[in-house]
Amino acid sequence: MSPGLRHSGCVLLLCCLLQPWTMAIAGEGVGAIPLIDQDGADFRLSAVHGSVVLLLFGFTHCPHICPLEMSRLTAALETLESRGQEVKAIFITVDPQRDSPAVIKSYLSHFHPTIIGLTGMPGNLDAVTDYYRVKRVQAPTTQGSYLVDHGNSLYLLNAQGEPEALVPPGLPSSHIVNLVAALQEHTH
Amino acid sequence: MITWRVWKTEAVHCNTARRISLQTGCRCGFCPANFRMLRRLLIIVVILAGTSPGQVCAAGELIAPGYGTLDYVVPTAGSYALPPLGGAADALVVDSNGSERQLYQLFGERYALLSFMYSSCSDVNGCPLTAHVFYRLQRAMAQNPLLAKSLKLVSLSFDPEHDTPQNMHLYANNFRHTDAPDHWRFATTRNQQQLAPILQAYSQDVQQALATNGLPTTDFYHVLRVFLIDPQRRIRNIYSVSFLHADLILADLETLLLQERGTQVGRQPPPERPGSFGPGDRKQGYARADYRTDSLALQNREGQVTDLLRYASNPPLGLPAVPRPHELVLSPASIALGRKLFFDRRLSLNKTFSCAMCHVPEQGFANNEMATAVGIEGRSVRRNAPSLLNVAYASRLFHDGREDRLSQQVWAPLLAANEMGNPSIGYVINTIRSLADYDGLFAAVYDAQQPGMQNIGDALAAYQMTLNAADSPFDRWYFGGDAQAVGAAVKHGFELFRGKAGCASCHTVTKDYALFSDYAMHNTGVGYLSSQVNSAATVQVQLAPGVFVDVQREVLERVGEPLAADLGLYEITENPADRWKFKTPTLRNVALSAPYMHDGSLTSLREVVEFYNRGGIANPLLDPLLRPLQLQEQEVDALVALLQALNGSNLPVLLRDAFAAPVGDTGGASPAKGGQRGQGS
Amino acid sequence: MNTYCRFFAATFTVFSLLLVTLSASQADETCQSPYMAKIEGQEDFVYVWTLGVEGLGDGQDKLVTVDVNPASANYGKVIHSLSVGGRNEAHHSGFSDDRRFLWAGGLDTSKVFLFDVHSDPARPKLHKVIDDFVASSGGVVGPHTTYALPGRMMITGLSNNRDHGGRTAMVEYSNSGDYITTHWMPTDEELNGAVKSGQFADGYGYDVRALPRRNVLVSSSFTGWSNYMMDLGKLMGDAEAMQRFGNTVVVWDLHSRKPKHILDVPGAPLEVRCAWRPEHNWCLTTSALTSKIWMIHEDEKGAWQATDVADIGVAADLPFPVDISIMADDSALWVNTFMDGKTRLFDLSDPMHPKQVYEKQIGSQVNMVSQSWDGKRAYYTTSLLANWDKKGEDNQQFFKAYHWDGKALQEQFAIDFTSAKLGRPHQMRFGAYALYAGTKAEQLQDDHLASLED
Repeated sequence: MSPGLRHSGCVLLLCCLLQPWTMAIAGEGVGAIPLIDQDGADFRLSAVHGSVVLLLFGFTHCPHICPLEMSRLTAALETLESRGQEVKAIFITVDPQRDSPAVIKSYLSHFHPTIIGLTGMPGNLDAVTDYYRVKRVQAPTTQGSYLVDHGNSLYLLNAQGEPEALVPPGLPSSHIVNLVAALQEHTH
Repeated sequence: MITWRVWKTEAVHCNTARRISLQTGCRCGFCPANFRMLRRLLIIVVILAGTSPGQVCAAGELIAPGYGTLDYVVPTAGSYALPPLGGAADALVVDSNGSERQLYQLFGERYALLSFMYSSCSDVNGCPLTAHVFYRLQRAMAQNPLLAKSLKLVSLSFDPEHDTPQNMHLYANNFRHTDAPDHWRFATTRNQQQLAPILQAYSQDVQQALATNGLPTTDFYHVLRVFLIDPQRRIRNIYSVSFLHADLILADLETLLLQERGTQVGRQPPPERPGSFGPGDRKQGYARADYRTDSLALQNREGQVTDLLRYASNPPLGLPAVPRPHELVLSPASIALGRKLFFDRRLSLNKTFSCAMCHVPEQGFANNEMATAVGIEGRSVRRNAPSLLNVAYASRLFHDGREDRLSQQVWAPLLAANEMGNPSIGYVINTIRSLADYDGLFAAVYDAQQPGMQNIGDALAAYQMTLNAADSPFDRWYFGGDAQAVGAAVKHGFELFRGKAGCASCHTVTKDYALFSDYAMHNTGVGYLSSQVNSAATVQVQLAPGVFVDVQREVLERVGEPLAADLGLYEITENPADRWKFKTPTLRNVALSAPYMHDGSLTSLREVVEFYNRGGIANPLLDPLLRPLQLQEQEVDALVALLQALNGSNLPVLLRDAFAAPVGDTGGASPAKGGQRGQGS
Repeated sequence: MNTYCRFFAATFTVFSLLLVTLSASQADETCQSPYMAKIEGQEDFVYVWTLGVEGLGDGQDKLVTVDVNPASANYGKVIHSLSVGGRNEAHHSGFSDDRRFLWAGGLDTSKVFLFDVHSDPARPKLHKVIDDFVASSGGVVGPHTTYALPGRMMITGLSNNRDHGGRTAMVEYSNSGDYITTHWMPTDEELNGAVKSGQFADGYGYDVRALPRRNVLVSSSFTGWSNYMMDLGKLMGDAEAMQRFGNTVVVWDLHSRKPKHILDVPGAPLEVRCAWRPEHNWCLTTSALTSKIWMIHEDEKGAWQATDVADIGVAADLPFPVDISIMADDSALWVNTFMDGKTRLFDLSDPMHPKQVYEKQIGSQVNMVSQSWDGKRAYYTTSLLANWDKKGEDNQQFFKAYHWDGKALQEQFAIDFTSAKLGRPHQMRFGAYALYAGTKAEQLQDDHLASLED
C-alpha cells in the first residue's frame, strides 16, 4: 500500500508557475479561435456573442470540483430558464487528450441540456485558456493516470465576450442567477 | 445587545435530503447499493448546486459544517473571551484595481476576516468553503448596517501568477451591482517574493512535499486557516474546516464588540468562604461512597502582604517571647527576603522545588496530602513534612532533633539529594547571585554582603521565626480569661490533657504560655513498628470514594523501592538507647497538619489520641511515660475537641501573606543575568 | 430533474473520489486530533518520547526515532536520538494541526519541547523549548496532553505550583509557542458555569479530546505532581495520597472553552478517545484505579452522561488500565493494563456493552499503544512514569512492533531501551514522508473506499 496523506487544506501545485501564458489575443481574436463542440462540429466563441455567457473550464475525469460546479451551473440555468432569462452556458475542457467530443457529450448528458461542451486542437485550447488566464497543469497520479489542476471559477461573460465577473466555487447558484439578472439589467 | 445572525433557511437534515433524492425519481434498483454514500453525494450537491445555501446534512462530517446549519447551539456572544493570539502582520499587496496597498488598509479600521485563496483550489472543504462562508457573511452585512460597519472580508491569493489583479477585479465584480459592493475585498501580490513573507507571517507557508524516498517533490500544501483580526491588528481567532461557520464568526465578532464597549465578560469573583484558606479539598469522608467534594479554586486566591515582624516581636496570646539568636537580623527587609527565598522554586536543582512545596502554607506549613514527603524527581523521603508554625520556639529541629538553629537547618533540605537536590552550597549561592530579582536585597540587609551561606540561612530563619500562630480559642480561654471562648468539651479535654491522659508531660503548658512541646526525644513505638515489625501480608488500598481493595504486599513491592528503616535519634548519637526516639511536636495548629507522627502513619487526631490511649506500641525502649490510658470514648472526644481548639487566630493573615509571595517561576523570560542559569553544575 | 439521478449513477466511481477528499476533517487517533493531518498508509517512523534514567547512557530525556517501514533498510532500528537535557519526566506528545511540530511535555520540570519533524522527518530537530510554562500559565504544573486545535495547542496540566496537588488547568498556546490563556478546571468554589451533575468537582486534569461535531471538549482527571512523581509502592501504601486522585470527567463547550458538565467517573479516568464515525457522538475513557471502561455520551435532552460500560480484568487485582487506542471505524478498543503487562481488545459493536475478545501478554509491564489507521500494525512501549515503573527484573523497557491480522498480534521486532542505553520509552507518535507530500486523493481511493463501506 502506498503511503498517503489526507489533508484538509487545498493542494497547490506550483509547477504550473513555470508555464508561460499569453494575454495578447483581443476579444475578437478569442472569439475567432476554432474549437470543436460535443457533436464534433466547428464552434467559435463569437457564436455566442450578443448573449450573456456562463463559461466554465473543467475535464470529465475531474473527481471533485467539476461535477459540483456543473451541478451548480445546471441549477442556475434551470432557474434562469424558468424565469425566461436568456443565457448561454459553455464548458471548455482542459484535457483534450481524454475529452473527445463523444466523451464530453456523454458527460454533459448528466447536466443541463443547453450547456455547450467544447474541445479543440491543443494550440487553440491553449490560446483560449491563456486568454482567460486559466491555470491548466497536468498532475500525474501514482496510478499512472493524471489530473488537471485548473482554474475552476465560473466566468460571467458579457455580450461582447468579455469577462464581467468570476464566481468562485462555494457561492450558491442563486448568486449566479442574481448576477446574470444584474448584468442583463445593467446592459439594457 | 447587538444581534445578528446569518439568515436561516429551514434546516435540511439527512432524512430531508433523502426525500429530495426520492423526489428526483431515484429508484433503488437504479441507485448504487451503498445508499448511505449516495445520500452524502446528494447532500453535497444540494448544498453546492442548490439555490439556498445552508442546506446540509450537518450530521455528516464529509462536508464541512460551514455549508449548513450548525448542529449545536452557538455559545452566547459575550459569555466567553477571545484572548489575542498574537499580532496580524501588515504587508504590501495589490488590490483588485491593481494598486499597491497595505493589507491594513484593506482591513480598514475594522475587524477583518482574512482568508487565503487561489482559483484552482479544488478541495470542496478548502477555498470553496471559505467562499461560501464569506458569501453568507457578505449577505448578512448587506442586511445589517452595524455589521457592515464593523467588518471587512479580505481574500488574498496564494497564486500571484494566475490570480492577477484583473482576476481579483473579476471576483470583486460579483458584488458590483449589489448594494454592498465593498464588503468583500480581493487582493493578490505582484509575485512570489512579495507573497512569501505574508505566508510566513500567517503560518500559511506552503510546504514542499517529500516523496516516499525523502526527496523533495514539486508539490506543496497548506492548512486552511481563516483569521479574525481586530482593529488593533491582533488575531483573535483562527478558523479551520470543522468550525469555519458564519454563525460562530458572528458570535465571536459580537463578543469582541461587547468587550470593546466595556461590557463585562465573565464572572464576578465569588464571595470569600471560610474554607478559602484551606487545602485544595479537605477530603472529609472520602472513605465513604457518599463523599462529596468541597474543592477550592486555586485561581481565586488572593494574597496580601502583612507586617510579619509583629508576630516575632509581639507574639500572639499564649506564646512567650521568641527566643532570638542575638546575631540574627530580624527586620521587615530580612523577613521579606527570607520569605522570597522560602517560596522560590528556583532554589532546587531542576527549578521545581521551594521550601513551600513540602511546607505548604494552607496545609499547616506541612503537607496534608501524603504521609511521607517526596523531593525532586519524586525521590522518596522517609519522614512526614513537619509543620513550621511556631518553629521559632523549637530548640531542636528535624524529627530526629539533629539541628538546633534554623539558620543552619535550612541547608539540609537545600542540599539533600532527595529533597531540593542542589549539588553544593556554592551552587545555591551562585544561583541566587545570578538571579537579577535578588539584586541588592542581601546587601541591604546584611551590611553590603553578597548572598552567602550564613545570610541565606539567616534570611530563611528570619521568615520562619515570624510564622507564629496562637491566640487560639484555647488561648483566649486559658490565658485570656474568656470563659466563652471554648465549650465544655475543650475544657474537659484540657483537664484530661493535664491529668488522666498525661499529655502535658511532653506537650507542655505553663501558667503564662504554652508551647505544647518539651522539644525532647521520645520513643512512642511508631518508629519501632515500621522498622522492626513484619508488615501485614496485605495492604488496604483505596481506589475511589467508598472503594477499597486488599492488595498483596508483594504487589506493592514490585512497584516500590523499599525505604530504609528509620532509627530516629540513634542515627545522630549512635547510642542504642536512642533507637526510635523522635522529637515531641508542638500541638498548636495541629488540626491543620494531618497526617500525624514522624512518618505520617496516623491520618486523624482521633487516631492519634486512640494510639496514646492504647499506650503506644510496645517495644523494649518504649518511653515510660506511655501507658494505656483507659480513656472512655467521650474522653477521647474531649481531647480531640481540645486539639481542634488550638488553631491560631492570625492564621488567615499568615496565609494571605504567603499567598502574596512570588514563587520564582519565571522561566524563559527569567530575570537571570549573566551566563549562569544554574543549569547543571 | 431526473438528470440528477442519472448523473449520480453514471459518475458514481468518479464521485467516490470526492468522498475521499471530503473525509479530510476526520483523522486517526495516532494523529490524535481531528484538526490534524493523518497518515493512512505505512508510517515510516515512530517517534518515541523517552524518559532518561539516572546512570543509564546519557541519563536524560530524548526523542528516539524508530524506522518502522518494512521497505526500509533500517526497518526495526533506532535511526535517531535527540537528547534534550535533564530528566523532565518525559510523558506525552502531540503534533500541531499542520503536523510540522511535535510538542512534547515534561511532567516534572513543566518544560514543553517543540520538535521540528517536517524539515527532515527522519531526523527531528529541537526547535524551541517553552521553559516558562508554569509562570505564563499562572501556576500550572505538569504539561500532559498537547492537543492540536486550529492554529494553537491545548495543553492539559496535571498539577500546580502552589501545593503540587491535583488542581490544575488547561493552557492554550499558539502554534508559534506563545502563551494565550489558561482554563482552570472547575471546582466547587468556582464551577465557572458548569453543572456538577454528581458528587464530585475536583478541579483535576489529565487528557483532553474534541468532538467538533458536537462542539465539545472532554477532559479527564488524574492526580497531582506529588502522586505522579511518587514511588508507586510508597503511594499505594499512603492512605492520604490515595485520596488525591481525580474522579471526574468534564465536558466543555469547545468554542467558548467553558465547562458545561462535570461527570462522576470515580477512580482516575485517564485517556479519552472520541469516536470517529459521524453518527457516533460519544467518547470513551478508562478509570485506572477502578479498572472500568466509561462511555461519555449525550442523552436525548442534550445532557452529557458518564456510564461505566465494562470491567477491565478484575479490579481487585489492580490491572491498572493505562493507554487505550480506538480503531478508525470505532469497532474495537485496545486497552493496556500496566500491572499484568497485557493488551486487551474490546469489541465495540455495541458500544454500551464492550466485550473483551482478545488479550496478549506484551511484557512484564506495558503502558502505551499506538496503532496504524488501518489497524494492521500496533506498537507498544513500557514506561508509565519514572517512579511508577516496576522495579528489579520486572522493569522491562522496550518498544515492540506487532502486526494485527484481526485474530492475533504477531511480534515483528523489539528494541530493548535499557540495553540500548536510551531510557524508559513512553509516548509514540507516527511520522511519514508522505505527510509532507501533497498526495493526490486519487491514490488513496481504493483503500479508503473500503473503509467507508459498511
